[in-house]
Amino acid sequence: MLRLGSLIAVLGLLFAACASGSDRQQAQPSAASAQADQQQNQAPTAYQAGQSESADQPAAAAAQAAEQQAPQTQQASVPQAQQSQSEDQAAAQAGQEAQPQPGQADAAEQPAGSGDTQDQAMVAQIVESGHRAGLLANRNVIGDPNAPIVITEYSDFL
Amino acid sequence: MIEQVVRTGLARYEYRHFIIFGAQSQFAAMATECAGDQAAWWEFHDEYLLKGQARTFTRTGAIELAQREGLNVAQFTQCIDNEEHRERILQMQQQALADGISGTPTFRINGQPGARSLSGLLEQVHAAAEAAESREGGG
Repeated sequence: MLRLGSLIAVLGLLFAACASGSDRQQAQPSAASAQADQQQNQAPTAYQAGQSESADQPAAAAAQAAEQQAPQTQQASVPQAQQSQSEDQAAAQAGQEAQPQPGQADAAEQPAGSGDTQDQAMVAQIVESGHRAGLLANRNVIGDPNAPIVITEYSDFL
Repeated sequence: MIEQVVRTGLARYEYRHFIIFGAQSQFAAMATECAGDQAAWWEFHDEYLLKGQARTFTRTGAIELAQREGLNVAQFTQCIDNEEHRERILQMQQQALADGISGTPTFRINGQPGARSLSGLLEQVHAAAEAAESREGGG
């Protein structure tokens, strides 16, 4: 009887161990799935005004690099903190108006995104080819000032 | 696009700053405007757009770039230190917001929302040109 009792106890332990392992295996795919979802969410192809988190990260990194390399950069960033109230209102408005623009992945020019390397190579090629040679250029405008069509691009260098 | 519609005289292309990434972006925009005072706006535009490294978005990086482009460095430095074009950038930003711009890159063709692909933009430009021609022909 004692042996039978021991055998039942051992079998019970084995069963419990198997059940626990199965739960762990089920939990792993869901964690991987969550990670994949997170990666998808972290791959923006266009930028929105008011993207506080994603926007602050590169700015913060740049600021850190700037501090390390050029302390004088503070002169440029200090007045930023003293922006006028109207600018704050504009930024707040931008945050409110921010809407997803999923179709911008194939925009003609992108400052950054998933295809950064390809984009930069393309831009480099265009620049090196002297694409502006012979064209009228006046500050931020290029081309015939009397041209009937105006193409305007709103963009951010960073 | 430059070759097909700007060089042919069909359209002109205008870049407007729309600051999203904060102080560094604003600084780069102001530095570009300062370069524009010395007819080097597009050289700075290309440099920032092409390289886009943190180093180039600093005062030191901008001055180095100005030297490399052969600008009057004293004038350029005074311009960026005094933030002479700050108001111009902010006005551009506020006008963009008023026009409904909320992200980058965003295109407009004669003020109307532009396509999000190069081919779409080209189609829109040609369509707008045809519409303009027919208006002139009709009037």
